[in-house]
Amino acid sequence: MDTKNKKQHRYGMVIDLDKCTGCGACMVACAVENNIPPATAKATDRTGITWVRVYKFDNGLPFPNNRSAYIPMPCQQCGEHTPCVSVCPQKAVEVDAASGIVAQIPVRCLGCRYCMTACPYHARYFNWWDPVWPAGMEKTLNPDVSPRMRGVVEKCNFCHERLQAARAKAAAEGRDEIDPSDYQPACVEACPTGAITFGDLADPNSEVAQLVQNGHAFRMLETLGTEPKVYYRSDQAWVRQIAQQEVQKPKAKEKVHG
Amino acid sequence: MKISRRDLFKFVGGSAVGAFLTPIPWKLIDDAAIWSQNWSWIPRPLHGEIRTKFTTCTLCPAGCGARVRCVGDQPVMLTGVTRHPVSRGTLCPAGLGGHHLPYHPGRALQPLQRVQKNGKIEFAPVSREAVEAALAAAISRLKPGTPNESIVILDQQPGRTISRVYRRFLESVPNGVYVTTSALGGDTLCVLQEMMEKPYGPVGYDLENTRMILSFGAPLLDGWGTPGRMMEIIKAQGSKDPDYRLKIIQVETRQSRTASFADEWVAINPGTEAAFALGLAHVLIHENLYDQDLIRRKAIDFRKKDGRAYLNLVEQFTPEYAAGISGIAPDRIIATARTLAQNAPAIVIGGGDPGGGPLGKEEETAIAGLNLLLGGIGRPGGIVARREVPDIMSTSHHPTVPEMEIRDVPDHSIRILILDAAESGNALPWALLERKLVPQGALVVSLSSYLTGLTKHAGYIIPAPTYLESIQDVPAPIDATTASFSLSSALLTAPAGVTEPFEWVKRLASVAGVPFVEEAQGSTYEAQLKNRVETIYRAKRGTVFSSGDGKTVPIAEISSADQLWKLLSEGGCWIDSKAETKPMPNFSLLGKTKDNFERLQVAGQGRLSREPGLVAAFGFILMPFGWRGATGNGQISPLMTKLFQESGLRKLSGQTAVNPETGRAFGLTDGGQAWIETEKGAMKVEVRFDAAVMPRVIEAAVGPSVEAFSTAETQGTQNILDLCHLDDDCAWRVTRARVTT
Repeated sequence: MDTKNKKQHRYGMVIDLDKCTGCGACMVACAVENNIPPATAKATDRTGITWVRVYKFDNGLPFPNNRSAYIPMPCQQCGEHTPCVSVCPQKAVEVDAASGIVAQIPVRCLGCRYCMTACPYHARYFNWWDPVWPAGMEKTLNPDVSPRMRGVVEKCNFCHERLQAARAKAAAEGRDEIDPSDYQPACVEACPTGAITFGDLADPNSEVAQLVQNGHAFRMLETLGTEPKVYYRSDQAWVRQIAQQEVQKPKAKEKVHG
Repeated sequence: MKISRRDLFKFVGGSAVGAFLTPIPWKLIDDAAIWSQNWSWIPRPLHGEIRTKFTTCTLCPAGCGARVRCVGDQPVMLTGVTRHPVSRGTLCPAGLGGHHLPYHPGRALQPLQRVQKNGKIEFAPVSREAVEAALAAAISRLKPGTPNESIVILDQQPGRTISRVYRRFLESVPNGVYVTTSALGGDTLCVLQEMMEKPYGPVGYDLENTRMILSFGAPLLDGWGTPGRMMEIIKAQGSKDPDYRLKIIQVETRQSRTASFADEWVAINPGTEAAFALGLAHVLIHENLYDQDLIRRKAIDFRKKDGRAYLNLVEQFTPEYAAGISGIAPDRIIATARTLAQNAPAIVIGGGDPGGGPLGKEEETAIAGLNLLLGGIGRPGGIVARREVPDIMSTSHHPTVPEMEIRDVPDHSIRILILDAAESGNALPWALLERKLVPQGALVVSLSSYLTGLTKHAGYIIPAPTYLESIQDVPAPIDATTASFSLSSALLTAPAGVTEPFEWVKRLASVAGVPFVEEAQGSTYEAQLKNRVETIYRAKRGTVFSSGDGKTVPIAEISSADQLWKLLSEGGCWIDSKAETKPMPNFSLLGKTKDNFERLQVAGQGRLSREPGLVAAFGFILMPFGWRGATGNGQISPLMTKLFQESGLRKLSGQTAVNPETGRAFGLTDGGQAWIETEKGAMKVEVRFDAAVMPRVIEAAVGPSVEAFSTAETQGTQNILDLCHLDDDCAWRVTRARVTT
């Protein structure tokens, strides 16, 4: 597709942690949409595949002053110095210039898992087993997404197939640009509290761009300079402090050898 | 030119090295990667015409609208229906995976009989006729007028058309009893009804107009009632003036999801809800913060006439006294009562946790009493009346078979127990049902679609169609303020070995030689449902929501009952018009039962008060918890491994949490194994340290096992509920336990 004369988008999301109840609807909707198989009996939280994973964290205070919150972690869709792109020997990770989406191309992936090591957000997952659905359940697979093979890495791509469908619809209707309401990732659609807002960060009039301007919005590990396109927000100071904790800076000696 | 051996080696070596500088090896590796994506065993999605259909979820009684994306006729994705009047666009995680359930490995696809083989429980195929003959023989042996020899149908989603059919069937056999279970979200409402002098009709919570909810452990933000209602309120909170935002105070031992997000979490001692509620009542009365006019006119037991009145009871529960039992400081009890009074209209909700079970009738009486004191009944923002769904069977025939909750059924009285397939989504320990069965020779038949939960204990299984395989009706959710009615369509063909419960009841009646509903004998279930829709149409009340276009039209604009049937079978929803405000009858704050004064007095001391010495001997208090829909009785999509197994977001059976300090004091390790031992037995569990857990409490998950996602659970997998102590009132919320490594 010729993107030269087209508007450049930067799709991103703002996740309101004050509205996330940790129900897990986003995780299930994501797995249904992207044909992610159920786990084998051996799978654990380290070997399972959840393109968006909801973590629980707390304020560290003892009972009864302890309070918890939940943080959904999809691929953060880094905008600069994208770590997974730079380490992939197979060019299996690409940043789509037209959308800003960091795409994983499973057919090119060799399964070296350098990208998993490089990703500071632990948002990439490896297929340790063949994808297997219970007998008959394979009929329920989404026809727009191919199942992946054992031995490759996969991750959130903001439901790229939905963007393609929105583009096809726009083209069929003679429009250059998609209608923003035609492109919402499955997790956004499924969130019952509306905690996830999705849109084009490059469009200053979009809701997502305006939410980013909110004083209580932040990104994970901002000091790394990866410019993620997934933002979070919370009105609670302790939530922002914990979620925003910086990576410990390396000592001077380590820097020399680093 | 002479080519030497050395030249040959140089050429081969150079070519090999040079090849790495060309794209050839990379191309080969690339191709290998592509080939390996295309093995024959990698499933290929169906391709075909994409269609959108609509239906109603029947996995729990909430009745959420579902948009079904299909390839041809095969559902491949479920999502919420925007603007649906019941679910407001929401579908819970269990509902999102509902289209996987027909393919669950735990399905029962033919009639089965429970047999013991080599010391193991197995389920062997049996003919449907043999099951019917066994039941017919058991029915013929029932002696009429012997209440200790009853035949019971347990219906966990009452109000459906099949529920009416069950009751009519039970009228035809000796000693028939129609039994329901405690409804999460509805317990307080049921007890409130019982406190009225005359029937007040169904009621619901006016959540949209209330300013404050005081919840006693109800999982308001985690699947309670109709989940979409609460979620919509949470969505709108941000745009509201802070003074008009809904305030939630959660009274619960455990830091549940609702406790985490509530404005206040009141971490109460286990099993002491009645003391806290009576303490609040004490403050409301002493500070004249209650609705004095209403109480003066309607409360029949408010005066201190005989020393056993409500006032005498509440007088004992001073903030200091209630604090000593509940562990909540007197100042906080006073402040909570004042906040309740200042934030009128407020609602007080009981109910408890889906895994931890119902609170108990006495606790619910104390909680319902707070609603009455606050004067919130029949007022906007409080508990308001709704009408029944128009039903020809209810108007033409009043059922003579009693309806009762399972906890009210006398112990050792059920000779034949038939378990309906529909699930409430809440835990129900087998021990509770076992207590109600006659000690010897009870016959249990399950109509479940899956080999799981209670069904594992049944002698026979007649598998029913599962969600999306048969047409079902969905009545109003228990918390609703208006009646509603919708249909769940048969989008898939049911497998050959399953039997629609309506057809099976007809067959059983025929084999047992008992008279049955005349109009039902020659009818189909669809015809029964059409009759009900016609009755709704004739009533000409309310509006109809069409899922296809999102429009709502008055029923008067619907041209015929057939058109209404078409709209409903395409995922539409009928919503009743608002009920007129009904005058509230007189009520008793103590409830109608004569010994309620004493019962409330005892309940106010806390559930563990009867044997205080044992707390030290056992060391821990075991508190089960669960998530509605995933407490082990029904079935959930295999994709739920994402939540339970692959992320730890939800807890599997056998996973527990203790306070770190308590854990270390008892020699436990974070992530280690331990044994929980109670009077009922022992179970090996995984222990996690969690600072949110109350000291000396061990929270144990009532959830699926890892195996439940991939196999049929024919063996009796141990469940934490097997270890829980069943109180006299059939509550199992708190149990003394010993925890050792």
